[in-house]
Amino acid sequence: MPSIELINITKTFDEGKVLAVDNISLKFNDGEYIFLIGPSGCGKTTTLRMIAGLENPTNGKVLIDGKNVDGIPPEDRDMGFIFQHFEIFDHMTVWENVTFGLEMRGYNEEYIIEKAEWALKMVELLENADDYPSMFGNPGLQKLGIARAIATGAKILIMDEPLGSLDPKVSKVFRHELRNLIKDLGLTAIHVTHNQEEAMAIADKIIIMRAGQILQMGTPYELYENPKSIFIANFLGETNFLQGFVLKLLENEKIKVWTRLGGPKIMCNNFGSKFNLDDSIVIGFRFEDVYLFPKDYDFGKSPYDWSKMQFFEAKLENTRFIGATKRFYLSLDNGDNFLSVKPGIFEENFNPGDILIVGIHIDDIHVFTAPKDLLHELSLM
Amino acid sequence: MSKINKKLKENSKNEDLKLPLNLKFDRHFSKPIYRKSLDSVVILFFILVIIGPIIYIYLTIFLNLPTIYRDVFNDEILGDLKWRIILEALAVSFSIAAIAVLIDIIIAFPTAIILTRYNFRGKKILDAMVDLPMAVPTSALGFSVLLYWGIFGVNPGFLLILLGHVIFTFPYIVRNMKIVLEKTDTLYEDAARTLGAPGFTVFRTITLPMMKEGIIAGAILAFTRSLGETGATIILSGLVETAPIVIVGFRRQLELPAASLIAGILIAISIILLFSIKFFTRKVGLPIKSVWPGFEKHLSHKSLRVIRDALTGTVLLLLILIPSFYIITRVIGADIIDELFLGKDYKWAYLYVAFMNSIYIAILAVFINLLVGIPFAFIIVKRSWGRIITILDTILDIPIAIPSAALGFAIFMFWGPAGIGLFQPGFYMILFVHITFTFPYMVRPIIGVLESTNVGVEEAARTLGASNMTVFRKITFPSIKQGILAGCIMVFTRSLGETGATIVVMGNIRTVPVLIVDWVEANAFASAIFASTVVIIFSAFLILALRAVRTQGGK
Amino acid sequence: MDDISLKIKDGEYFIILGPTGAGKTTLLKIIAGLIKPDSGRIFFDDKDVTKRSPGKRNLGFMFENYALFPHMSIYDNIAYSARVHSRSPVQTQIIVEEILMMTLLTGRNEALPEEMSGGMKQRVALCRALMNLEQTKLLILDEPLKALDAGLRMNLRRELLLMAKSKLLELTVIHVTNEEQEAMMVADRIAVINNGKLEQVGTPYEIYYKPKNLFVANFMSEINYFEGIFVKNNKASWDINTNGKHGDKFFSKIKKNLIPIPIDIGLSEVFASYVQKSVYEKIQNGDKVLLVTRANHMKIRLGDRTKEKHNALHGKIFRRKFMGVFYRFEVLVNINGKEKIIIVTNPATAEIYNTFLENLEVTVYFPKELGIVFKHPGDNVIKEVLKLE
Repeated sequence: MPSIELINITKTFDEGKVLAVDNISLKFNDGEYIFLIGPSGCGKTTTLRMIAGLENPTNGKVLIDGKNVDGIPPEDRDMGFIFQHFEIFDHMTVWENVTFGLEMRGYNEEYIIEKAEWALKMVELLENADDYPSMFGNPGLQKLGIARAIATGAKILIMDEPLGSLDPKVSKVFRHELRNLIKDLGLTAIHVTHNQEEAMAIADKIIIMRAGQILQMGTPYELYENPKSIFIANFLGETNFLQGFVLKLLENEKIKVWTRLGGPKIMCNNFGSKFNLDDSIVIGFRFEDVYLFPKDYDFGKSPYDWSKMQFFEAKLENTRFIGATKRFYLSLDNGDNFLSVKPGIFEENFNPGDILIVGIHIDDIHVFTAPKDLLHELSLM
Repeated sequence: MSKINKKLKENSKNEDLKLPLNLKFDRHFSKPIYRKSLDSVVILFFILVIIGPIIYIYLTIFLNLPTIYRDVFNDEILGDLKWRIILEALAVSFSIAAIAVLIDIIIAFPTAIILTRYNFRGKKILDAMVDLPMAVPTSALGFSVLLYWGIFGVNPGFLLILLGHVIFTFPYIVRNMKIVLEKTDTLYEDAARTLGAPGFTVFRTITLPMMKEGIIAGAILAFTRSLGETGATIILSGLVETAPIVIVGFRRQLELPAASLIAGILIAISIILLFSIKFFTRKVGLPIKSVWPGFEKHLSHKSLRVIRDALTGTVLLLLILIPSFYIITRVIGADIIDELFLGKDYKWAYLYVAFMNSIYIAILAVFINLLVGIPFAFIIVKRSWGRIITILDTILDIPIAIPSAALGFAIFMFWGPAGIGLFQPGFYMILFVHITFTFPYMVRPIIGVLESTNVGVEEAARTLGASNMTVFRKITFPSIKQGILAGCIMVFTRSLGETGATIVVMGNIRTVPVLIVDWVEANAFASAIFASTVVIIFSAFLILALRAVRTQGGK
Repeated sequence: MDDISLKIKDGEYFIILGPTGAGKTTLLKIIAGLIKPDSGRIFFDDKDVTKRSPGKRNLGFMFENYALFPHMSIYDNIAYSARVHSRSPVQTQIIVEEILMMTLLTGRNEALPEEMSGGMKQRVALCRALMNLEQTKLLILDEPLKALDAGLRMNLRRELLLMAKSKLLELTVIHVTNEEQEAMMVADRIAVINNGKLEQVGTPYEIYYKPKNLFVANFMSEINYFEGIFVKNNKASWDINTNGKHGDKFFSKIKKNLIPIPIDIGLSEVFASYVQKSVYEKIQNGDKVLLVTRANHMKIRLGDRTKEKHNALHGKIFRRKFMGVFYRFEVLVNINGKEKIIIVTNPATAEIYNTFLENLEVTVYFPKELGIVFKHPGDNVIKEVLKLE
């Protein structure tokens, strides 16, 4: 069964002037659906191309099934590759496209017919076998691209922005079909995208890259719940950030944080006692983890346990309904702004200008050391 | 590397599968060793054929400096007469080229805009007509011009040469302008319009600067074509001598040192011109910052546009289109049967032989250039050799930039009896010269399509298991077919129409353009009219074929 | 483009939403005067401008991929409009530099567009368009965020909205997009366009809760649909006129002007849903109808709860996937012997993480206030709307 391992891979372009991938090591396990994500120019596509053999690493080794594949050209690596712009052979029919890879491997005719029919059936294009690809729209072309890649029986599927050329609405449906197909076939798949939402939606495991390095890897759940850095918290999902400093050290590995310019004082976890008195820190909490209550809410009557909630007051500036969710734009006395996201059918009587009570569960607050330049960390350009 | 290949193959589960023979063959020839040897052969050919003669001619000039000095500057009888002839010829050539290009640009601007931005009936026909002078042998064209302006009493001389040169250089400028205009998105013009710019301001500040490089590329091509043209010029020149005519004259009188000198000067100037213009155009800006709203608004007025279009149409018709085809109307009145077929000197047989010579030479030139041109285009586009590629890419244009008579002479000196001595003037030397000066016409279109082919598709084929050769055969070749065909037709028409280079190396062999020149000089007008009409119609078919190929490629 | 009439109000942020190739850009170009309409007229402030040249319409047009003049510096790009209108050079310089400062682009005056990142180009293009506004404060944005990374897009949406609504500018904005999230996030009103036709115009709320047809309903979120029969006389087994547990302000707002009807989708219990009056008038007893629910309006409970819940289906969790804010479930149910996948998205909580595992038996249901009913449009339409082309 296929496994892929990268050992200390470095890749530079332009005679060493541009460092695309900076000494990374990775291991992909059999049957995993893995995403490489990061902002433009982070090295994710280069990494992918080195695995496929379309680029050669400047340094380091790529192992496939434990064998070093250095110098083995892409045609001998037996992987399926799916491209952003499909790269369908448009002078060939659908059938000729799908059988291309099989013929290159010298299979006999019966086997070729059997596999090609199977692959076309998987993507529901069997009826169109004699058509030319120019008849298809983008989704059809990508289906053909997928059929062409899986027809060869490759166990590893490499995808470079496979949904990037589709309309947003279409890609939101298509991505689930893609994942289901990959899971049904038991393929090991590596998928590069710049769309975090897509990665969260269908990945087994996500690797976040920036400037040629791996920042963090894990399941979507792990990354979402425990982002290691401000950048990741901001890059995956939507997060509010407030600056402040450690006002008091408390028992049970907890600290009290005073947000900047006399903002609210908020209690946070301090696991491993990482932070000390007066440290500059940034706290982050997800939009959807911000609970809202009217000012006169009677917490005593409610059946829930509020002991771990942090409460403070904020002014509601604006509300926007965006379908599945509602967004509440809030401001603090010190001028900081933050957002709360609730389901679209959330009942409320709030009006702009109201003072609300904001509640955040202590375990939903992430604490980070303040970076030199917060704007840079939050910049996604 | 191949060992690892084998190992991986052996280990993979489909070891007992047998690849079909053609794929095995592909796999075998995809090995780097074959690629490397092919690269070396092609580059060796390129250096020998293109650079060799040019270097050699400077070598001869340098080695024979005393002879040249004695012969050209200090002859016992003539003194420095030959030098004065050379100087005057150069002056004439350069002024004609400069004025012709200037006139061309003025007419070409509105023509290109009309042909790209407007839609009207007969647009395709007009487009083809404008392209045609490029494909017709210039001697036939020159003869047509001679007859046309004869009606108005214009006699051979400076003015008539100029009128001829304007015609056959015109398509080069219009075509280059059209290509950039088609490429530049109307989006930028739209943006400028929404920002409040009137039509003329949009043209001056947005369209024109974006066309700059295309205009200059066309102008260089037209300028060098004018500088090197021989066939039409001999017919139209009367007593005026241009540089190529002087070369031909010296060569005929076997004044080799003098001919070397003027060929060397012409080649040097052309190359310097090519590089300096390429270099300076990037730096020269246009006044895009200042705007004269009132004035330009007036210029954008509808009525002015109508006047401009009408004027362009008239000038195009009277100065370029009618003179090109006027000769066809003269077929009827000419005494063809008596002179050509019933004459005692068997002119028809000469014509037949010359025609077949032209065709053979053109076909062989296409074939050989095809063999070398495709791998050469691949080297330019695909190899990452850094500076070497830039140099090869620039040198490639030299045969286009230098006058073909000079190039022909350089090749005669290098390969002929005076140099290596491999060829005697005659069929094979003509072929050799034609291969050299048409080489870029083959390679450029192929480079063009290769650059625009999608690398992704090739990568897709490789990830599906195709070796390099298979990828070329099954994926790359089908998509560059059109470019190759376009290159072939370009080479064919250029070879068919060439006069200057042929005259220099032909010996006793005649091609059609040379025959036309001979007959015009011998006052056998009826036969010349017939021969010209035949080649014009033949070329028209070729240009239509070329356009059909292009439009197919566009799909 | 087929017979479209629209009225955009002063100061409104108006979104034109539709898939690629729907004719959105053509519509914008007609408004800007870059394309002449075959028939019909265009009015600005009640003045007919159909024949006015684009240069005289004085609107700001930001093109898809920005169309920054590649041969001009950032400064010259932004100053272009002022120069063409021959405004005072000194004043122009002051304004342009102020704009560059506001957009954090100071010091890059002489940079060429090709040297800039996507986000910076977007800002320059916006500034260039704004410079052209005079009395008509109409800004047209053609897919302004399309070329940007997803994360950056989220930030810039907020900025766009802030700018459009700022008291200083008081802009009317027409913004074209193919992303429904972007539309909902910034729009005052949305026009949904498909195949050159106007499908619906309304506030985000109307478009989302009261879509006029299946295309609009499906375009705004993932949906589930059931084919059923309107059974007027055969009253639902549960009283459709009683209020659900949500007898509150929110639901009463949704069901305003709606009529509750029973629908038989082939299960033992008859379903119920509210329906718009216009649709109600067109259907008769026994007619085929289409019952649509949004995936995020479906609720999910463990075990077989079809006895106690209405509009409920029983099945098992086929797949589940954590998506950040939401969990997405594919639940396999059985309707009349046919297997069907029901999509359910629910806010991610620790409870779901721990208890709702794949292959467990569950019940999914939805309140009748959140059902959407259409007259059955025919199998072809369903296929066309829901297929991926």
